[in-house]
Amino acid sequence: MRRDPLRTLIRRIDERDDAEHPLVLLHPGALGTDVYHRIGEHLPESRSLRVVDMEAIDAYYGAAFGEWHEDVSVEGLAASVLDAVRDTLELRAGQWTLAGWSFGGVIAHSLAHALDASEVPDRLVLLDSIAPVPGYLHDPEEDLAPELVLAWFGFYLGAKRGVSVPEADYSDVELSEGLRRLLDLAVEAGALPPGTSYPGLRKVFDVYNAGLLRNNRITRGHRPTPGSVPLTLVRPRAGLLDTPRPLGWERLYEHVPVVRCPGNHYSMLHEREPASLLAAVLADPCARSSEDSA
Amino acid sequence: MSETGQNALTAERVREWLVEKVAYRLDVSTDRIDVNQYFDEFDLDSTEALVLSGELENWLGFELETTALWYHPTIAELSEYIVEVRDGNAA
Repeated sequence: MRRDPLRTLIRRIDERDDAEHPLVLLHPGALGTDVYHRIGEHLPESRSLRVVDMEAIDAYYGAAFGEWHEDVSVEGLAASVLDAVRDTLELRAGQWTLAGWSFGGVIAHSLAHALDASEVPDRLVLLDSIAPVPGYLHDPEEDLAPELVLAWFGFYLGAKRGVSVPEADYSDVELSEGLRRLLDLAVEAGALPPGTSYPGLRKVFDVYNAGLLRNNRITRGHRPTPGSVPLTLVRPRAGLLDTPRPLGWERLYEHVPVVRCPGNHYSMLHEREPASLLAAVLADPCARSSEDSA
Repeated sequence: MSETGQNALTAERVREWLVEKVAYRLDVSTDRIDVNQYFDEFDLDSTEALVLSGELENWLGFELETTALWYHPTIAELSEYIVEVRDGNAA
């Protein structure tokens, strides 16, 4: 597909120019930035939402397709994003909120370290983001476990079309067999057009998987430092990992308040109920935490 | 195994295959498909474009770079490029 010539790194989700407390949310791709409109609709007038479309960074986008640049790193991406944010907003300490979904949370954590003291946000809100710490890092040279990646891929296909693909048990199946099983479920749910073939779905999967492996590769060798900005972690019912621990962030932050929401890793961004909750969390992160994992 | 004979592969044949597939996806007649229109100007979402790409590879019997549709963003350009790839002349 031709790259959108109008694609910009910072995307405004609303028209609130004079909002007193902007929100900046880092989006690593997979879904388009349109998914954030529902969250934007639920935000109070005092908040404005700007989404950073990281795939507008050519080196990051191309890295998923074999056009690897050695300078694509967590710190490098954070620096690129920060330059663009500073060009767009006047960052005043405590008067804005930084957020990141999925891999965007890893970059947001790094970006928070690169800020001047006069620019530090009031809070960092991470949406189903896995910390880049030992035990949570995946070797980018190895394929992800089929049962894990097929479940995520099913959620992704559903979110692309705004439908729900039934969850299935993919344990103990080869990738190709699991994909064929998912193909039937996705077509039946309306996530794929009738008549979609296995080779067609396989291509969609390969590109999806390449994005995951790119992000794993970027975090390889990255050594995150502990964070000092107050953190809130939002986890959907069906998130990336099924673990009671707060996705490794407890290694980097003293306290990790966790907010639970409905939906899965993708639908949490745009389905009515979770999007409404997310808007409330982004507007006032402290009021909503239901767990506190030290 | 390719569904097309490699020796019989011409840019015209690839164009015809793509026009038929795009017309089917859009539920329009083949004469409504402009081979010089950008893929992203057709009413295909990114998933459908990738499905089309995967089915094209299956028909051709060889893989294309994922960026092929990015650098060759029309049916006409992609068809010419595919024949160059088959002939080993692609840049």
